[in-house]
Amino acid sequence: MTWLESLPLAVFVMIPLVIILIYALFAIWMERKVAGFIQDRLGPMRVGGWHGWAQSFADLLKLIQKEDIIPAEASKFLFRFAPFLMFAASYAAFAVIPFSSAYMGSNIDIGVFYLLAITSLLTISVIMAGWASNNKWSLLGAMRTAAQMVSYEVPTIMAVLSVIIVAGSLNLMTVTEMQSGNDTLGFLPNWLIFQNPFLLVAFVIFFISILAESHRVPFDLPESESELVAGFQTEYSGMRWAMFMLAEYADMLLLSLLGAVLFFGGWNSPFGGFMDGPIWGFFWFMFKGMILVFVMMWIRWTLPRYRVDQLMYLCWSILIPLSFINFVLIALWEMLF
Amino acid sequence: MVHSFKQGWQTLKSIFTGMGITIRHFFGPSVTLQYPDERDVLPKLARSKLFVNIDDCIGCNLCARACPVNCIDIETVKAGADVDLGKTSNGSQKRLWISRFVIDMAKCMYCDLCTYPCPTDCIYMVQEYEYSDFNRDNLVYKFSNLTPEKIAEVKETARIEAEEAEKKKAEEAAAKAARASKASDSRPSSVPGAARGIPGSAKGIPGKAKGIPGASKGVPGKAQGIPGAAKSIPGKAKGIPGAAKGVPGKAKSIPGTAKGVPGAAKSVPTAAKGVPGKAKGVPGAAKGVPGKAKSVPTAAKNVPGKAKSIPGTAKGVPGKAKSVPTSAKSVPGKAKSVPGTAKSVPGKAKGVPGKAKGVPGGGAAKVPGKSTAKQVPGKKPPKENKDNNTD
Amino acid sequence: MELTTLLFYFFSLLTIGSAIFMVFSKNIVHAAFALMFTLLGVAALYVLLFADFIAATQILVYVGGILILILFGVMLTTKGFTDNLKTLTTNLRPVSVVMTLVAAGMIYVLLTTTWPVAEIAEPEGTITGLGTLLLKEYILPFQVTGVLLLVAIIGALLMATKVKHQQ
Ligand code: SF4
Ligand code: SF4
Repeated sequence: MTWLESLPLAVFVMIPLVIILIYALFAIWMERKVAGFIQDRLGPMRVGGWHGWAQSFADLLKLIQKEDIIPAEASKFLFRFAPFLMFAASYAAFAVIPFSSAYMGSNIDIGVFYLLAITSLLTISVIMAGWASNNKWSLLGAMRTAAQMVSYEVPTIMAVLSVIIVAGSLNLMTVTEMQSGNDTLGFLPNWLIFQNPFLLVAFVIFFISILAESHRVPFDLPESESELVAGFQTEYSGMRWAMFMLAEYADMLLLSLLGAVLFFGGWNSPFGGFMDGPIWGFFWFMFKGMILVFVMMWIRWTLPRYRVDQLMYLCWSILIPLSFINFVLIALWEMLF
Repeated sequence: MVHSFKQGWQTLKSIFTGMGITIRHFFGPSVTLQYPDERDVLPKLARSKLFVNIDDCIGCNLCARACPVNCIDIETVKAGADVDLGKTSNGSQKRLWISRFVIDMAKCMYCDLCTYPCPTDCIYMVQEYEYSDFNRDNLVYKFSNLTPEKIAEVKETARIEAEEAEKKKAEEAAAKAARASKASDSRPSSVPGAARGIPGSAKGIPGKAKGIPGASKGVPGKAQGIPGAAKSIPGKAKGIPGAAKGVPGKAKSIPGTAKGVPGAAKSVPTAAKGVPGKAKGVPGAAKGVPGKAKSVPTAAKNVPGKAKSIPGTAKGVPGKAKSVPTSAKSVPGKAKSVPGTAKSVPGKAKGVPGKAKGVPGGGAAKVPGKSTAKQVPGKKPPKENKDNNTD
Repeated sequence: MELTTLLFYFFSLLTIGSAIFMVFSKNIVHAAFALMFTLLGVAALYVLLFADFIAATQILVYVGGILILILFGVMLTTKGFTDNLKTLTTNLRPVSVVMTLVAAGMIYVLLTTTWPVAEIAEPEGTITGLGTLLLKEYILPFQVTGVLLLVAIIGALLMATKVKHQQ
């Protein structure tokens, strides 16, 4: 393969990036709108005319213009590198997400396994950012994040594994394909969540865990403003900070899309053959993902933040035992039926 | 175990309850306004920007006095007698030009206290709240509708009129004094004996003079002069004019000390009563002599100086400085001890009461013993006194 | 030059370079982050060898697990996080003698072995074969390893709780 030949490949690889960027701009706007509506406000209304749709662009412009400040006592290279590592980790995970029946970055067998492995880089990048900032808030935030992400990785993986037992494949494309059709109980789509009652429990565990993994409320301890200023992002500004935000939103989308693949049939249309096909597939897939993202936002503006010990208690004393029990029950169900 | 499940169930329930509430609000209407596009209707009594309907303002200054932060500044000028400023919408006659009416909205704290006292309801809050500015000076609102030229003009007119009024008064007073002095003129010649004795008392007066702060400057001069006068008092008796000379001099010095006490003017002429010729000069001095009190003692000094017995009274004068009538009263007292002089003094005494009337304020004399109540119209309650000032 | 070759050299350089940096770095946290680059580089090399499962495991276990453990250990066991943690070199002479011998032995092995070279071919479904092998032919060692790890975890927990009781 020469340089020129690899050009289409580069374009191919860039597709999720475009999706992420558009999504991030949209999600930031949406987050504000949701916050506004839930609080009986309207949210941004001015920039761009209709319901302030260009607000995110304006913010992006502002961030680009900002000075790139690096603390004098920071570890310069690590400080600069951390945001990019974080985004790289989020982005790399999109390689195994089947966006539609026609597009998937890398159709490899170890799909989910790879996804879980590569997202562990997020933890490292957070620690890197926190330590390199040479700031107490940052380091405390980073330690919390690391502890939180490492802990919640366990229930996430257990919930994912429960799905994998039912699906019988790590390849997310295969997992999606086997969910097509509308036969469950005669009318429901063949989504995994309807296949097995225990998968409903698995989904609850999964959803709680991804909230924690992507630092969303009520598990936003890493950047809890009221205690840690902004956690590991305290010293960051301008585009580097924007990079973190992008990575966080990408992470949120990634985990929501993963949830959509594992429990809600990925790119399968909810109406069987109706509105099917690669383009519709992409639409449905993003639609399902966005619904999960919306629920995350909805929760954000409803619930208060957990305390650190409650967070750990919830994970180690409730979710992990529950997910193990659930795992065994799903395995039994699969053996019996 | 059961407990944990219960707890877990409760947690889930409360989470879903909370989410139910938020989603209802999500779909509910928003309660906010898109401010620059839409505005709320302000309540009727909302406090915001002040406005003055200057056409209705009578310049009574009540609003400025009510303001706790002194952000209203009003200056008025009396309108000439021949000028009709018209009436306000509720029928009050306007008598003052409002040469300045300034409200500093940067200082205003929107207490609304200024609007209630206004007799014509011409200062009030308008429903406007968007007047923030980058420059503090732009928050100073001017309401007077007179041009600077007009203001200068009305001020000049007012000054001339006031002057004329003063002149008139002085003339009147002088005329009165002249009448009074005519009566006394004939007696002085018979007082030589008394005159001799006076120098001694005269010397004593300078000392007192010092005690009279306001008047003091002028007094020494007189003091010195008085001995001379004293000697010649017999002459004076005839020629009171001599004493009178000294008085105008004092009158000049007085203006400096006493601003704002219009009443003083009236008292000065007193000294000049005997001296019709000088009377003219006095009014001028009088104009500026708001502090009557101060000027009056002057007159008093002269009087005591003339009578031997007066020194005693004179001491009391510095303290009383304000009470012109005192001198008048004391004069009769002298009369007794200085028989010779006495005759002529009564004549003055008559003249003095006239003064006394003019100097209402002075009347509050503390010289109870001497000042007979009759002559002290000035005992009027202080309140009214004030009113006179604002006149 | 082919993209794959280019990538190979890039990741090799990354691996070796960051390994050298890690060894010579005086700051333990820097060394730990250098180790991350080494481990990632190795994982990338695995990918180039079509060993995707091993690569993912490498990242999951080493980067996501062990490296974070190291960082936590470094950060939580010293008095202050932000102190610059320095490394020391001790026993320089005996170590250099031993290491010279080991290096000589390894180079000898490298030179005397005949390395069989296979054609590059993308294997079909690495994990299927792996799973079958682990759960059929090597089920006993697999299970024993699992038990060993379990024992280790329980032991660690026991030690941790004991310390607590003594306090
Ligand atoms: S509202 Fe109050 S502070 Fe403002 S001008 Fe009137 S009296 Fe003064
Ligand atoms: S109280 Fe009314 S009439 Fe009097 S000065 Fe103020 S605004 Fe004018």
